[in-house]
Amino acid sequence: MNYIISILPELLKAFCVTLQLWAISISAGVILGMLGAIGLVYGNRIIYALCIGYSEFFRGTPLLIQLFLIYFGLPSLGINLPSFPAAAIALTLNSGAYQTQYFRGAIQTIRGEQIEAAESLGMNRLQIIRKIVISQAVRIVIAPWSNECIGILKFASLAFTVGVVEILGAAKMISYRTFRILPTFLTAALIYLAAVIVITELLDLAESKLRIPGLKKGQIE
Amino acid sequence: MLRGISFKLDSGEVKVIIGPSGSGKSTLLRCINLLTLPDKGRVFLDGIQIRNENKYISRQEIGFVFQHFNLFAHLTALENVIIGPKTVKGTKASKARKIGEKYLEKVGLINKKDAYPAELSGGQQQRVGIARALAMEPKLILLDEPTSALDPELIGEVLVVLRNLAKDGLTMLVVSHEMEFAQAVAQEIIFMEKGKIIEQGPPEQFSNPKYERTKQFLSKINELREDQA
Repeated sequence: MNYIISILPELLKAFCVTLQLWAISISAGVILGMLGAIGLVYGNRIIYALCIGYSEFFRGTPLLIQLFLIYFGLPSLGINLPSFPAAAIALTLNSGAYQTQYFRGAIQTIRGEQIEAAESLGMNRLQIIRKIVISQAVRIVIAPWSNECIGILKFASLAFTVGVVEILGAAKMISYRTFRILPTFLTAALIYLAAVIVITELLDLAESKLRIPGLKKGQIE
Repeated sequence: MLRGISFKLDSGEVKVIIGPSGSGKSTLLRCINLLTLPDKGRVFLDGIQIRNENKYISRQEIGFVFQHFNLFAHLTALENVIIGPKTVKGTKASKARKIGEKYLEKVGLINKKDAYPAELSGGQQQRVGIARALAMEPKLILLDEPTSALDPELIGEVLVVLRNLAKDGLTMLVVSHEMEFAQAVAQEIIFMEKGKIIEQGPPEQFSNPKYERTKQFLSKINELREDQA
């Protein structure tokens, strides 16, 4: 116990780096995901091809390879990124690809009937996307989106492979120093678990707060 | 689908279109505000042709009421009614609110203004749908089988609203199988089948139709009504 308390500050400090990576990639990923989804559903052929290509590449290849391509591969093109930005970019692009698909699914569940009603009032496409589609898609997307939030938090540990001292990196360094591998990694795991529980609870709360009155959980219309 | 259809709707006039399913009634309504693009043919509103290029403007002047209400699920009754004026016409929030309340009052739902669609009955949802179309203060409204998705006991409340609107002189083109309603409010009834107009004329003419096909159809819907009652 004393050992755990003694390593806790160092682990928590490193976990802040994890949380930074997480916050950046989830929030930038939301923007990428929304744009990607709008491109998939409403874009012309070229935009669709770009969006589907992006989303399939980053969903279809391992995150670790993406990270290595950006950190170790880009320097050969003259682009040298420090380890933290490289990790943040890889995580963002990866998350954006998944979020593209989550938002696409949500957008497509908004029934054509509502779109027609908006058209009949004289709304143009942009007004319909803003006022009708996005505002409902955001509510629908929260459930799959919480998986993405948890996933990226855990995937952020891969950043240690390019030298970012996040919680896994810190745990590794501590265990090299103290030779107490089991309690060190167990503590790191428990910190992760606690964070995941908090995030899940918050998103559940958001989901019920945003739920449209009269509709049950998971019901769309 | 539609062939050789031509008719005119005067301001303040109510016309009811009847006909078996698949006869192109809904398609005809949808071609008027270009929810469906016709291959050929022209539609004029006050002498101006409704085209793809000016459809956003034209649609502001043509209300549409859907069979399945098509309310916006994430908006309250009042928000559903005022989103049109606010978004499309740029009406200020306070003014839009007044307009919205006026029309919810008109359809008898002012006490439900903060309810969401999923909290309303079918009849109430359709009345919100009507208020939403009215709030744009259109020159005419098109109603696509406004009562056919409703339970029999909810049809009455919607028809009452429509009768009152007709009394107020609102121009309406209604696809409906409610013959009593049609007889009471329409200046003209149009019977369509297979994309063509078979018979059209004042309501009295449909008490004793000229064409055999019209007679058959009317006795069919009469039978159906009696079965339900």
